[in-house]
This record gives sequence, structure tokens and C-alpha cells, in this order.
Amino acid sequence: MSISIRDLDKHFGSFHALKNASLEIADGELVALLGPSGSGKTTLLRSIAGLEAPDSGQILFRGADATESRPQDRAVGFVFQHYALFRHMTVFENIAFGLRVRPKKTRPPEEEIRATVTELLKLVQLEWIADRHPDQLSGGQRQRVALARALAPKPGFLLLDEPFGALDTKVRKELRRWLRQLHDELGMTSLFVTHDQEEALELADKVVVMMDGRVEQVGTPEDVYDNPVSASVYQFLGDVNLFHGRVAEGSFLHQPHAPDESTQATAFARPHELEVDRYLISDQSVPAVLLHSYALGPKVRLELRRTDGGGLVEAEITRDRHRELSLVAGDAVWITPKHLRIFGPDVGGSI
Amino acid sequence: MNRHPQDPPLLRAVAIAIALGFLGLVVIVPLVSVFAQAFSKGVGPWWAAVSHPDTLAAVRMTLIAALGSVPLNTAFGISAAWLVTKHRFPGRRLLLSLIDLPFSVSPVISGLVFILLFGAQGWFGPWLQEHDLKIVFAWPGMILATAFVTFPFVARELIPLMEEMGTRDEEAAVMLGAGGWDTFRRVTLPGIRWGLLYGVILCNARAMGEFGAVSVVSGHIRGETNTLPLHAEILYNEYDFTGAFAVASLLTLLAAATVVAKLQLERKLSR
Amino acid sequence: MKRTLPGFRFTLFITVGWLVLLVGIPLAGLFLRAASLPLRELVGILLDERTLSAFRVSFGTAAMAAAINAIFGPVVAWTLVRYRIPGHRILDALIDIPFALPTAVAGITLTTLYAETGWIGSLLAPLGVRVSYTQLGIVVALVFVGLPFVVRTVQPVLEDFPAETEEAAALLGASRWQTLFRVVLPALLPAITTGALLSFARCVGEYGSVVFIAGNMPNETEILPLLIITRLEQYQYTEATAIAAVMLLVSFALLLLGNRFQARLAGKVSR
Repeated sequence: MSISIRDLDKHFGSFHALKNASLEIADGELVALLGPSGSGKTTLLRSIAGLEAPDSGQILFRGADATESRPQDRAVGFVFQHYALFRHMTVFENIAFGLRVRPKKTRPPEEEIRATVTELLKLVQLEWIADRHPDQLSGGQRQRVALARALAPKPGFLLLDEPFGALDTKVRKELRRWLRQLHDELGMTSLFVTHDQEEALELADKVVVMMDGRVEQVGTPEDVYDNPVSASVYQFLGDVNLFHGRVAEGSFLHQPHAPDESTQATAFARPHELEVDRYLISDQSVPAVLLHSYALGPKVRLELRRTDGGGLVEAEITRDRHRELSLVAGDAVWITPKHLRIFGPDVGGSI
Repeated sequence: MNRHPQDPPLLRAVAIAIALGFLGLVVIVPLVSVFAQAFSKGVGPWWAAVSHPDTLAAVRMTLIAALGSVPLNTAFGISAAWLVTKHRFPGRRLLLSLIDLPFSVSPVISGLVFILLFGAQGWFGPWLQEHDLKIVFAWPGMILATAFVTFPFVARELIPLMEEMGTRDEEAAVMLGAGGWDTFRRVTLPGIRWGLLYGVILCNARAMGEFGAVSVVSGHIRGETNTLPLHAEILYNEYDFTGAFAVASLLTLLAAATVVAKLQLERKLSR
Repeated sequence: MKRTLPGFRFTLFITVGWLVLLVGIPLAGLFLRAASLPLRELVGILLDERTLSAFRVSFGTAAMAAAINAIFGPVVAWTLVRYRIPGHRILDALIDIPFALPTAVAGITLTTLYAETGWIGSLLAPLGVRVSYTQLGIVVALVFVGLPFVVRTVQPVLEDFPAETEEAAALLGASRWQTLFRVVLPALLPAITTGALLSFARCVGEYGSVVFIAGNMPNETEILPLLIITRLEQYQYTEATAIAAVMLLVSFALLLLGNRFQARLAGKVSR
């Protein structure tokens, strides 16, 4: 295993940031640390880099214990959200920095440094700005320089802290794609932190969902999206509708105001997993009235209020279906979940 | 939380030692010595020096110079700040530099210019003599010189403050029908009152402590045209060290009060 | 052009009016007077041996003091910002003392301190080091005067310095010392230079703090402001005016330079 994290625990004053987090990352993987703010993902990343010292636990790089070593000695490439470029140096000097500060013994000769930097500039497609200063560059360019700079001293693996957080949407999307390509080319083990689930699902080989200082779930993007291991993971990874009710004999009964607490359960369904009709279809159908609808690209989003007291529901249907139904605000409809997920100690999985 | 990487303990120790040593030598020791010298012969002689009629006259003159110059410069400062931060016009940058001008002029020259205008050989010299009016070597000249030297203080304090506050609030007030004075009084003033107070305090401290400019303009007529700093100089030159430092201690207390006021106001300003 | 906010004409009138009256006319008077001199006479005054050495003394000591402050100032700023040592609030306030303290008080205090019988002077005498009545004394006084300029310019830059930049350097393999000298110090250089420039500009025209400790020997420890006063007292208005005019031109040039540096600095910091 390339990176091994065992029972990492960290407090900031009274705030418990990491609660015995453990994780294994294999060689060459592109892994996303995904979670809401406060989930501990940045703390975990910074601990791996050596920028935070954990209260307890171990960090191993290829089997060797790195928990006590300084950031300088960990041979880790790090890319910050706000680039952290050295403003008084040119792009060239920034990238060369990691090589130039090596002690005399291990320092490569100047021509070699120049060659390495030029190569990296080509890799990030920025050869033509080698002599510029960071404040003359755009956000996207700065981030690419930051990446080149991190790669120059040939680190063991790459850590990125919300690398695209400071950029606007279009640049973000481009750089995302570009990062994936770069990773495929270089094959370096990389770990990046993000709170954007779309980004994690699009880019990563493996997604690590963190909540509240703990590692909630580890899996492929499909895994994590389709088979969430808990309600909080499910809710974080996309829009969700809640259905309150009871579980009896393996089936779910919609009871928005269920009096009996012992078998109470909450079921979840995504907007696109709901069927909308003018008529009752099954015993799972619930009545609702259409409040508002709006087009979202090729789909149509419907905002509905359940007329059995169950609250608001959001459904997503295709444009064709919407045309078929010819819905207007105020219409009475029936919602039938095609797929319901229930989380709990005695009931797991979907119905 | 200081998240910067830690410095090696050796560097820390050396830096702290140098910083404390330097500050101690340059600032703390002189401060302490003012009071040590002032009270070197006990409280009695200190009080005698402080309550001496010449000293009291110097206090009066200092107050006149301050009262004559500070309110005028405050009014100017507010006016300049309003003009420069709420309006855009050609020559605005030039005006800003001109306001800063007295800041870069040597105090002695600040006094010289008035001698050249109102002295016996000055432009208006003959005219003044004719009408038996005295400006230099009298209190009007002191006020003018003090005003010149302290000219930018209130403006310099208000301008960055008001620049940061922007014009939005005032525009809202105007659209609701408020006139100029009302807008200023009810909308701008509450926001700038601590900055204004600090500017006035600073202006006043400088006015009361000014030496070079008033030295040139005063003629050093004891009991009549001496401010506290000039009085201290005279006593010092006469080897009355206790007296000189007694007066100096008063001025140092004023400086200390100014610094304390700044501390308090900074807390208010940063909220 | 219709202005949204009121008060333009009014404040323009007051601002420009007061500016012209108090600053414009006196300064214009000085320059006109200097300009009315035949060129040969002007040059003669300026190239006079005594004048030249006063220029050398004033500018030389100011430069030396600025250099000293440029070295120690950042260390003080660093200690205050990075190491929250106990009492750092008070130390921080103390930095404003040279700014708020009347120059005459500083003058007599420093003279007494460094006199051969003074607290510090007596320690230096056996080492053969004389401070009072030498150029060294002038430098000592100017270091006091110029201290706040460098510290207060460097402090905000240090306070806003992102921790991530230092973390990045560490992660790239730089030792703490390498980070400090290759990454932090170069980033502080513009602020240090600006502060040193402002300190220099202030010290060139300084009078009150210097005139007591200098001894004022012509051609040796006579500063320009004192020379101007001496000429005035001897009713040599022309000489005084000529020297003052040149000093002013230099001050204005320094002011413009300093402002431009500060603006560039502010632009850099805000990005």
C-alpha cells in the first residue's frame, strides 16, 4: 500500500477534527477525499503532508513510518487552494525552487535544473510564460504553475487541497479534465480534497467520503453513489427526498405522521427515481400538488407538495414525459418512488 | 491561531533578544530617564518647576497654539476628506499629494516661510509695522506655524477611513431626500467618529509638541511667546535640568496619553 | 456634470482655500524669493563650504539612521507579529512614542542619556566612544525619530503574509532558514525599502531631537535646519531662503517617491 493511515486522531482545542481515521491508498490511485466542511478531510490531508501533527495514530509511506518526520523530509508534492506561489520569483524560479534548495550534495547541476523546469513547463503547457511573475497570470495558469512546482522535486505522491476551489466554473471544469489526463500520463499516486461531489465522482478512481472526522465510506464513484452506506453519505452525494413511514413485514408504508415509534423509518429517493402520474399506480403512490416546474437542461424539475401532509418533494422527469403529462401549476398528481432506500440498524438496503 | 511554521528556537531567542534590546535602548530607556531626571531631586522641586509662572505662561501659549490650529485643521480635514472620497474630479491625485506636503517639510522651514511673509523684511512686513500689528514673534505667528505643521493630520486619518467606507450609504441617504449637512451628520459622522477623534488627538499632540517651527517664529520671548517645548529648551540651556525635565515630563505624559488613546481607539476601529 | 453627492463646491472651496492660504502662499513666497536671486548668487550660497557640509551631515546621518532602522526595524516587527511574547501589546504601543513625543523632549533626554555623565554615555566613555557632540549622536537621535516608520510599514505586510507560502516552501524541501531568507525576506524588501525611505525623508529635516545632542559645530555637526536658523538670526534671509528652497525640492522629490512606493506596496498587498 502506498499510503497507510492508521487511527489518526486530532483535536484543535476542544474541536475533535479527526476521530480515529484509517485509510489505505494504493500505488498510482487518484483518490478523492470528499466531505462537507468540518468533516476532517483537509486536516487529514495536511496531516499526511506533515503540516499538522496528529495527537495519536500512524502514517506510513510504503511501509515506512513517517508520522514523526518533518514536511521537508516527506518528499510530498502539495498544491494549495490559493496556489501559494512565491510572488517575488518568476514562474521559472518558482518551479526550480524545490531543486535549488537541496543541500549541495544532492543538488542537481544548474543545467539539469533548467532542463527539468523546461520539461515541466511543457507538461503543463506554459512554456511561454516562464519569465512572468505570478501576479501577471490568471488563476488557472497559477494553479498549473503550482502543480509543476510541486512535481519538480519528483515527490513520492501528490496532495492537492481543493485545487480548483478558487477558480470559476469553466476554468474549473477544464482543469479537472486536464488533471485526470495528467494523472493518467504520470501515474503518480494522488490524493485531493474537495467538497464538490461532482468533482470527486468525475475524477477519482476511489472516493473516500468523510463525515464528522470519520471515514464513512470508501469505494469507486459508482459504489459510493449507488450503494451509500449511510443516510448522511446518501444525502451528501446528491439531491434527496425524504419519506417518513413505517416498515412492516419487509415493506414500507408511507405514514407521514406515524404514531408508533418502534418501527418508524425514513426512506430516501432521488428526484429522478420518482414517477409522476395523474393516477394512483401502486400502494406506494402518494398524492401531491404541483407548485412549480422548471427546465434543467434535458430534464424538467418539479417542485411538489404532498397533500397527505408529507411535505415537499422534488422530482425530475424527462422533457418528453413532461410534455406528455401537460402539467400546470396547481395540478393534482400521484408520486410513485421507483426505488426507495432505507438506512438503519435493523433495516438495510433498498426496497 | 498562529499557523505559520515554527522557527528554530535559536532564531526565536536571538530575534527576541535583538528586538527587546533595540526597543529597550532606543525607546524605553529614554522614556524612563525623562521621569528619572524630572524627579531626581524629589517631588518638591518638580512641582516648583511645573507651577512656576513662566511654565504656566508656556502652558497658556501651548494651549493657544493648539486651540488656534486644531479646530481649523479639523474642519479642513473633514472638508478635504469629504471632497476627496465622495467625489471624483481631475486633479484629485494632485490635491492628495498637496495635502501631504507639510508632512515632508522640515519644521524649521515651516517657521521660515512665515518669517518671510510677515517678518520685518517680509512681504507684508512694512504693512504690518505701519499698522502696528505683530504676527511673527507673537501668538498669531505661533498659531500659523503650528497650523502649517499639523495641517495634514486629521485629513490623513479620515481619508483612508472614508475611502474604505465608500459612498453607498451617502447615496442612499440622498435618494431618500437628505441634504448635504444631514447626510454628513447622520450618515457619515457616526461611522468616522473614532477615526476623527484619533486624528484630532494626534493633531493636538503634534500641535502641543511642535518645536522647530515655533522656535523660528517665536523669538523666544520668555513668558510671552514660549510654548512648553520652547520653555524646556530655555531651561535646559540654562542648565536648570530639573526644571527642563519637569516640563518635559508633562509633555511626555501628553505623548503617553496620546498613545493610550490610540490603543483604545484602535480597538474600537477594528470592530 | 451632475453630481450625486452634495457638497462639492462647498468643500472644494474650503479645502482648496485653506490649502492655498496656509500652505500655498507661504511656500510660494519662499520659492519666489529664492527664484528672484541671480543664479550665480544662488550657486555661491549653495556651494559654500559650510552649507555643503551641512548637507553632508544632514543627509549622511539620515541615511545611516535609515539603514540602522532598516536592519533592526524588521526584527522588531517580526518579533511582535510572530512571537506573541508577554507584554507585546505594550511594546507595540511603545513604537508610536517617537512619533508622538515632542522632538525637544527627545532632544534633551537623549543628550542627557549619552552625555559622559549620563546613564549610557558613562558606559561608553571608558570604551573611548563619544556620542554627544558628534555625528554619532545625531545618528542616535535620528534612529529614535525614524524607528516607527520602518516598523509600521513592515508590520501589516508581515501580518498579512500567508502561512501557506511558508508551508509550500517547507514542503518543497527548504529548511526554515532557507524559507526565511529566500521566501519571506524578499517579500518584505519592498516594505522595508519604503519604510527606510519615509524614515530618511523625515530625518533629513529633523530639528528638535538633533539640535541638543549635536553640539552644532559648523562644518562638523551642524545640520541644515540649524544652519537655516543661524542665517535667520543673522538676518541673512537670502541665504536661509536659498538653502530652504533646495531642501524643499529634495523633500518633495522624496515625498513623491515615497508615495509611489507606498501605493505600489498597497497594490501588492491587496492582491
